[in-house]
Amino acid sequence: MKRSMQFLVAAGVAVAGIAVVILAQGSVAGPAPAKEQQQVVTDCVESRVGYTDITRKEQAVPEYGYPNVKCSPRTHKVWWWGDPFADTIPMGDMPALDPNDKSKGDFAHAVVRPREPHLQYFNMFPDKHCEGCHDGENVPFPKNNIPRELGMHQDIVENALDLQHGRGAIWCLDCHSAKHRNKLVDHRGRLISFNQPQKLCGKCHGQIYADWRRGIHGKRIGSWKTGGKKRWWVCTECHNPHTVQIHRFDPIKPEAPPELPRGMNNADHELKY
Amino acid sequence: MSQQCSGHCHCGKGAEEAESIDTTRRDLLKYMGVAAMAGAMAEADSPEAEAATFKEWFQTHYQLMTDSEKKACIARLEARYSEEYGKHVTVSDAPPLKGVLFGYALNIQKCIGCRTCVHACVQENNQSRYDPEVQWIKVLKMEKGGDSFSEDKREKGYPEHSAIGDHGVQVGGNAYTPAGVSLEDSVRYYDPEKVPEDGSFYFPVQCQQCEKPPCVKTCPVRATFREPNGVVVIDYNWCIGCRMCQLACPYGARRFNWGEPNLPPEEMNPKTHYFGNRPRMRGVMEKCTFCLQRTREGRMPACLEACPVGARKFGNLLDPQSEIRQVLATKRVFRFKEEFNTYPKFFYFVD
Amino acid sequence: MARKHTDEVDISRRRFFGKSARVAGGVVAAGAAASGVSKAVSASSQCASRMVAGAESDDHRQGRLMMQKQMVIMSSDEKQQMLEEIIRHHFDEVG
Repeated sequence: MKRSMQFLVAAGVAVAGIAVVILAQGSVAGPAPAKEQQQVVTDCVESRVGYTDITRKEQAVPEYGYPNVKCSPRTHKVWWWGDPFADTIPMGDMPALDPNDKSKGDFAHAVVRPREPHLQYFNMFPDKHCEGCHDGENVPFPKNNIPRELGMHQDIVENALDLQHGRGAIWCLDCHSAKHRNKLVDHRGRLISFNQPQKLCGKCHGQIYADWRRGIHGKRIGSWKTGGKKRWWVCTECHNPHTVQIHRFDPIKPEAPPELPRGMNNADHELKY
Repeated sequence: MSQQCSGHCHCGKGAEEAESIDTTRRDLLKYMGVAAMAGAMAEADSPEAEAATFKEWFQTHYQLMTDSEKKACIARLEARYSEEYGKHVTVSDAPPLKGVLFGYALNIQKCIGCRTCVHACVQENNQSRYDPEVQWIKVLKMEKGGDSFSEDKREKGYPEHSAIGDHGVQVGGNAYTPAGVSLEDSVRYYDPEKVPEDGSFYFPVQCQQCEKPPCVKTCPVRATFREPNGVVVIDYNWCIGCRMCQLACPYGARRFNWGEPNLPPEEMNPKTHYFGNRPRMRGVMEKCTFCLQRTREGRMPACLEACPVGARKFGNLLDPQSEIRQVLATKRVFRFKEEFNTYPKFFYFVD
Repeated sequence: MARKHTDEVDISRRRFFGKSARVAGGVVAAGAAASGVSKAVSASSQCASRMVAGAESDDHRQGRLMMQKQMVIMSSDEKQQMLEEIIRHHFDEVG
């Protein structure tokens, strides 16, 4: 094989003259590349804008000098994970779907990024979170589930007056616990952690929940192996439960289009005539 | 290092011409021949470096190397890359995992066309960043509802006027909407304020890792071949840059390094694999390898990890519990250009 | 070229159109799938069978497919067959 290669090379000498001239012209004529200086982006968005934020940390993986994430300078979206398990905790128990399901899904090493630490309001109660005020005394518990206009917190629930979920059939306190504001609540009154909203969502969206458990709906990063360590994205990390009726996934800014072919100024050729 | 001999290459065609060429090893090998190269070597800086370069020029196909040759080859590359990019670069030659056949699935109903995967791939795989910009994934935007049989369009469908004149071509469906989805109408350079746009869907295309790959059949020097994991890889050092595989590929998945790749050292991913993301040189083919430097260590490919909507699924086709097999078992799946019988292991699906 | 490979091609292709005529929703454009498959099905069944009749010959079909792409949702049989073929070929290569 190598011999024949050498022969080819030797034969190539014959056309060397022409090739050299062409190449030389090519390298001279080519426009000098304007080197883009990419600034380092530190505040990044994982999936849902305004909800899943992550901060870039340098040297998170010292072996390769990786940061925990690399983000797009254009959209601030995370486009590369150096450490897929940054800031994660174990997902916690995931009950089997049905008694016959012995495998209980692929949750052995499932981790999530916890939501509960982010339940902050002007950093007023770093430990008690919402229950700092909503303890039944400072702010009395609502007496019933009857919808009423939200008097406060329209800043944190940006769509409080226009809930787009369940086509009018459900209201805040069908998902949020009235007495334990740091928790969600299902239709049987069981408290559910904000870290595991799938337990609540799955109560209505059973088919999607089943797909999610099997790993074919939603996002997971980490190991591709069955039983490997994976970080699972939970429902609210992609979907905004308050506006999900409008968009299943809120539209986002796309990354830059590819470079146009050399000598082309616009992409009008693609448009339909 | 690749620049080291420009300036003193006296190789028969005049010094000015030779000087203006970016004389990489590859170009030398191809265009100047053995004798000229030996001349250049004699004037190179350090004897070790020049010996290493010489060896790299004349290394054989990676699969034909003995273990010690492989070791030396890896060491040479690591030393060269580490010097070139100013950081500790590792070049792995981890063998394919046993009992694994990789498959990929993409939910086009979920894909929003944000191109995050494209850039994740570039971050991971050390492509040339600019001039030329090399991206292994291209995302095509198409109009929704490529259904030509809908009630309101059935009576229409006769050729009509258009900007390029009257064209009487009618290929299935009708002239308003061709049958199925025509890639002819796909748009690649879209750049709206927000994606997804109403009435559009997006169709990312990358190497489909065919089970019966036409590119492998066509390679005259067997530089590209199918690995036991089912992934088609390229020995960049053995590739002669004839671009036959690019022509053979029905998916347009292969990229050619027309120029010397521009890879800023600070962006270079120092964890590389011989057949994967190690920096390429001018004049060789490259393409998606399902991130084999990652997947051989059990990690998901970079494009999958980046996808903000979780449209991408990856796994072992031999494991019935894997995500990819679950998709095949329960979702509506189609393949891209399946009529070529290349048996792609990249599947598209809808819920 | 199409003729040459007919033997190899057969398994997955020959049955394709017959099936798509029978299973009304067999031929589904990907876009239609995204916008709701069921809508397309009723309107297309008649036309689809007419199309099938017109595209009997393999060469004709090959040409048509080359010119503009249809995305065809695989039936579960086809999926199974494809998977078996891939895995069989894989073990041929590995072994």
